[in-house]
Amino acid sequence: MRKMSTRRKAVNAFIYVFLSVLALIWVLPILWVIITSFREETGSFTPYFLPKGYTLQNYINLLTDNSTFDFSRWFLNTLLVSVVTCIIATFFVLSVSYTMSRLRFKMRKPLMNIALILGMFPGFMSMIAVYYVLKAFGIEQSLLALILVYSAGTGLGFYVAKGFFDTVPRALDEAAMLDGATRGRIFWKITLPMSKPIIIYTLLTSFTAPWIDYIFASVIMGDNYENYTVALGLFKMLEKEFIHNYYTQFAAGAVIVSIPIAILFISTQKFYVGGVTGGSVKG
Amino acid sequence: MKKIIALLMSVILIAFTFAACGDGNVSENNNGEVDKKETITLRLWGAQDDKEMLTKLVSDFKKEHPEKEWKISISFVGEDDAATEVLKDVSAAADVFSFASDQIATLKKAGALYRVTNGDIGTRNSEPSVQAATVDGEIYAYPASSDTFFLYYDKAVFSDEEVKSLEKILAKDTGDKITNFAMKIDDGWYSSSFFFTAGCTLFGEDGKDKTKCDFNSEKGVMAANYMIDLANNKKFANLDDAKIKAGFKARTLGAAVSGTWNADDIKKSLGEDFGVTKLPTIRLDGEDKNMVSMANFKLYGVNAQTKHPEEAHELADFLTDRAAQETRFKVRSYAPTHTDLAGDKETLASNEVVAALTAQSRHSILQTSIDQVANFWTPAEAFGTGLIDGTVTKQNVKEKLDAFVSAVLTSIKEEDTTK
Amino acid sequence: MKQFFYAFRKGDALTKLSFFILGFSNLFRGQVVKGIIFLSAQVAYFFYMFTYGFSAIGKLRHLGTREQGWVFDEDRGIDVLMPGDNSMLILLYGVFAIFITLAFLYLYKSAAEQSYSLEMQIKRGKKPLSFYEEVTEYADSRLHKTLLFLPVIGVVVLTVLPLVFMILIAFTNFDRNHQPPGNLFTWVGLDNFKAMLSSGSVLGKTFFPVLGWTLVWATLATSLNYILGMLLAMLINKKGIKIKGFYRTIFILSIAIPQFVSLLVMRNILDDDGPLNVLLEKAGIISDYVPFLTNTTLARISVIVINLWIGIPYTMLITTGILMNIPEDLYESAKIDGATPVTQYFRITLPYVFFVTAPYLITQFIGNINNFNIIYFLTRGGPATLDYYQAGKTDLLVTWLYKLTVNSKDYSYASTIGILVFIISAVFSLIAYRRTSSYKNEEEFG
Repeated sequence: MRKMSTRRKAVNAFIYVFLSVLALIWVLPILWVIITSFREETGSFTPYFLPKGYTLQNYINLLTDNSTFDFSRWFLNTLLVSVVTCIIATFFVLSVSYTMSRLRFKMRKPLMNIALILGMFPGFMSMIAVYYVLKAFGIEQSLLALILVYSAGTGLGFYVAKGFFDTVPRALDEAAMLDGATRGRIFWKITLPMSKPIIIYTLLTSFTAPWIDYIFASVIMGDNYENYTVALGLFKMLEKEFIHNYYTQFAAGAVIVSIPIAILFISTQKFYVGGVTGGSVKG
Repeated sequence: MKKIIALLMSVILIAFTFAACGDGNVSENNNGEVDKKETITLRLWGAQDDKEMLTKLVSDFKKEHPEKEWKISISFVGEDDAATEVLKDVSAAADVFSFASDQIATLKKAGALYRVTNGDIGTRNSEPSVQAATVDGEIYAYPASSDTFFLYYDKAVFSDEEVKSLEKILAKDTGDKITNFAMKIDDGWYSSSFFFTAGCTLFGEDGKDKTKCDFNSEKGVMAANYMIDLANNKKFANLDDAKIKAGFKARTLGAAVSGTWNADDIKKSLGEDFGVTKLPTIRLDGEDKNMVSMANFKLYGVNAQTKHPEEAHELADFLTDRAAQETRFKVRSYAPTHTDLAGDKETLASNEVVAALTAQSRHSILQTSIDQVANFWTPAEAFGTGLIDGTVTKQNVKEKLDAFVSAVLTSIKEEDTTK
Repeated sequence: MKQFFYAFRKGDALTKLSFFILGFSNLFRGQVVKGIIFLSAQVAYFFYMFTYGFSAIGKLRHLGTREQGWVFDEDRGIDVLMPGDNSMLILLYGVFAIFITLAFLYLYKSAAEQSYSLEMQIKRGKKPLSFYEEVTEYADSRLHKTLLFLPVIGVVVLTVLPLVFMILIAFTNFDRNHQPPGNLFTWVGLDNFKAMLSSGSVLGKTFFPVLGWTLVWATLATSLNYILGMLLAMLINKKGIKIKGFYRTIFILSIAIPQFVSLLVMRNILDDDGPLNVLLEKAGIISDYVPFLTNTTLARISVIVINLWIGIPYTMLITTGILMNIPEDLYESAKIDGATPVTQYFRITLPYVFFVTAPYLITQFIGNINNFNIIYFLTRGGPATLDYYQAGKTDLLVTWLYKLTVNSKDYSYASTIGILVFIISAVFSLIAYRRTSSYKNEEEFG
C-alpha cells in the first residue's frame, strides 16, 4: 500500500512538471507579445530575446499619434459596430433558436437543413457579391454595412442557443398556455427571463466577431481609412513599409484588443462547452 | 389568409431593388460643361508614406486653379495594391490613383484607365518612362518617378572600392557577427537581376511577347549557378526590407540591395557610415558585368469612370509636372522622370540616394508591363525559395529553370495565349 | 399546388378574379386592408418587372453584348466613355429579379388560395378575421413567422443571394482576362469544372495536390487536437492534481486572444530570424536557423503544431465535463478485471467521449477543411512552389480560392473551387452523420 502511494506521488509529480512545462510553452508566445509591446527599440526582429529597454511609449503613440494610423478611432469604430451587432445578433439568434426549439411548423425541418447546408460553403467565397449587394443598397464602405454583414447571417448560428432552449422544461409553457397566454407572451414573459445565461453568451460571442474579422472588413472598407476596424488597422501596420517602425505598436494594439476579448471568452467558456456538446454535459 | 410575411418581404425587396437599379445600372455620361465656380469633387489615391507631400501638392493645385471650387480627398492605397483595389470596383475607385508601372496592362485591359490625349506627357518625360506609360501605342498614365534598386552599405565595413564588386564584398572577412551581403532572392523583382545580367530577357527583347522567356537558356543556367553559389555562401543572407533595416540598425549587415523607400531608416541607423551606390559587378563567364536591375515607374492614372475627366486629368498632370517631381525629389528622394530634372546631374548628385539610383538606372531594364507578368512573381518566389532551402542544386538546375519558365509562360486556357 | 388549382376550379367569379387581381376577393369580403396590401404588392411587382425586371432577367442569357467603348471628342480634346454592359452587374440584378419573382410567386399562390378559403368561410357563415385579429395571430399561432422574419431576410439578402450569384459565376468565364467594366464575360457551361478536374491541366495539377494536402491537414489537425486535448484534460482531471482551474485558464489563454493576433505573432516568432530561432541559437541547440515556415515539410509540420496550440484547449474544455460524467464504477470493475490504464482508455474513456462528441468532431473536420485563418495568417500559403498555379505548399483549397479572388481576380475558378469544397464537405458530413448515432437524436443536434 505504501509503495502504491509513493508511486502515485511520483506519477503526480511528473504530471505537475509536465503540465507546468506545457503551460510555460503555452503562455510564452503571449508573454512575448506583451514584452514586445513594451520594447523600446523598434523593428519586428531583434537578434536577442529580451528587449534592451522598456517603455510605455508604444501605447501612448498608438493611442495619441494619429498622423498615420488612427488606432483610437478604429477602436471606437469597432466598439460601435460590435455593440450594435451583438444586440441585433442576439435578437436574431434567440428568435431563430426559440422558434426551432419550441414552435412546430411545416417548414421547420427544411429550414434547419438549409441552415446546415449554407454553413458548408466557404464563408468568404461570396464576399465580392456581398460587397456589390451592399453597394446596391448604397451603403458600401460604411459602418452600417459592416454591422449588416456581421449580424445578417447570425440567424444561422442558432445551434448553441437551441440546445439551451431544448433543456428548458416545457411544463411552464404549457401551464401558461392553459391560462390563455399567447405564444408571443410566453416567449417574452417566461422564456426570455429564464434564458439569461444564453442571452449573455450570445451577446458576448457576437460582440467579438467585429474584433477578429479581417476578410469582410477589408473587402467592404477598401480605401476608407476612417471606417477601419482594429483588425484591419493592425494588419496594415504589418505591411512592408510600416512593419519596421510599427511592430512594437502593433504588439501594443494586439494587447489592447486581446485583453477584453480574452476576458469575455474566459467568462463564457462554459456556455461554449454546453453548446457544442448539445447540452448533454452540465458544467 | 396567410403569408403577410412573404408579402412584406417582397415589398421590401422591391423597394431595395429600385434603389439598387437607380444608382447602379446607369453610368452617368458626363457632359463636361462646367459652370463658373462649380464644385468639383475628386478622390486621389496615393501611398500612405507620401501623405504629407500629397496633401501639400493638392493644396498647391487648388491655389493654382482658383476658378473652381475643389473638394479633393486623399485616401491611401499603396502603388503595389492599386490594381487590386481598382479592379475590385472600378466605379468606386479614386478618380486619380498612383500605381506601379507593371500593372498598366492589367488596368488598361479591364477598362479602368483613361487615355491621355492632352498635354506634353510624351515629350516632357524621359523616353523609358513614357514607354512604361504606353499600352498599344497610346499613353495611358502620367509618369511621376522612376524606381529601381541599388546597394546600401555600411562604410565602417566596406570601402567605396570594395562595394564595386560582389565577389569582393563576399570575400572580405568581416567576422562572425556581420553578414556581408543581403538581398531578397526569393522575390522576382530582385532575383531577375542575375538573369538580366547574364543577358536573358523576360517576355522577349521588348518585354511584350507573352510567349517568350529564356531564363532556362545556357545564360540562364549560368546565372542560376551563380545564385546557387551565392545562396550557399555563409556571408550572404536572404533578407526582406524589414530585416535589412533591422540588420543595419544592429550593425550586423555590411551591404544590402534595396530601394529609395528604405533610405531614411537606413540613413538614421548608419549615420556617418551611411553608404549608397549602384549595384556591384558580378563575374559571369570570366567577365565582370555590372548587375542589371529591373526598373519601374510610379505612374498616375485617371479612372475611366471618373465624373470629371478634364479636372482629373488636370490634377494628374499637376501631380506629375516639373514642380511636383522636384518636390518629390526633395521631400521623398524620388528620382524624377521629367527630362529637365532627370538631366540636371548637379541637382541629382546632391542627393546621394538618387545619385545612386540614377547611376544604377544606366544598368537597368524596364520592367515588363504586359499582364502576363502577373504570372512571373509566384514562380520567381518559388525558384528563390528553392535556392535558399537547397532544393535547387547545380545538378537539377536546368530542370528547375524549365519548370520556372513554363510556369511563367503558363496560361490556364489555350485560347488565351493566341489572343 | 393541388389546392391552388382546386381553388381555381371551384371558386366563384370573385375568387377566380382574385387569381388575376390579387386581393380582389379580400377587398369585397370585408378584409380591406389585406386586400389593399395584396393589390399594391402586385402593382409594385408588375411595375418593377416592366421597368427593370424583365430586361434584367432577359439579359441573363448573354450577360451583356455591348462592350465599353471610347469616342474622341474633338472639342474637349479627350476621349468620352461610352459605357458598355457590365456583365457582373447584369448577373447580380438578374439574380435579384429572380429572387423577387420567386417571392412574388409565393405570395401569389397563397393569396389565391386564401381568396378561396375566404369564400368558403363566408359560405359557412363565419365572419372573416379582421385585420387587427389577424395581426394578433402573429404573436401566437404564427409566432414563428414573426420571429423568423428578420433573420430570414438577413440570411436571404446577405448570404443566399450572394451565394447564388457566386455559384453562377462558376459557370462563366469571369477570370482575369474578362474583367468588367472593360470586358464582358459570358456563360461557359461546365468548362471551369473540366479545367479544374482534368488532371493534366494547369489548374488540375494544382487542384489535386492541394486537395490532398487539405484532406491530410484536416485529418491530422482534427485527430491530433482531439486525442491530445483529451489527454490533457485527463491529466488535469487526474485525482490528486491541484490547481486544476489555474492550469485550465492558462491553456485557454491561447484561444481567448483573437486568432489574427495570435497567428500573426506566431508567424513572427517562427520566422527564420524570429525569437524562437534566436532562443534556440542562444541556447546552443542549433547553429543555423530552422526554416520553420519556409521549408515545405517543416512548414506543414509547423502549421499542424501551431494548430495544436489553439486547438488542444478547445478539446480540453469540451472533454473535461464529459470525463467527469463517466461513471466511476466502469473503471472500478475494469480494474478488477485487471485492465491496464491503456486498455481502460481505449475501452472506456475513448468510446464514451467519442459517443458524445461525434458531431463536434464532424464540424471540426469541416471547419479544418475551411480553416482559412491559420494558413493565411501563418504562412500565407507559402513556401511558394513551381508545381502549382498561384498556390503554395501549405495552401488549402480555401486559401487558394482567396488568392485567386483577391490577387489574380480569377473569380470563375475561385467559385468552382468553392463549389467543390462544398461538395466535399457535404458528402463527408452526410456519411459521417448517418454513421453516428447522434443523427437520430434530433432534439440535440438537429
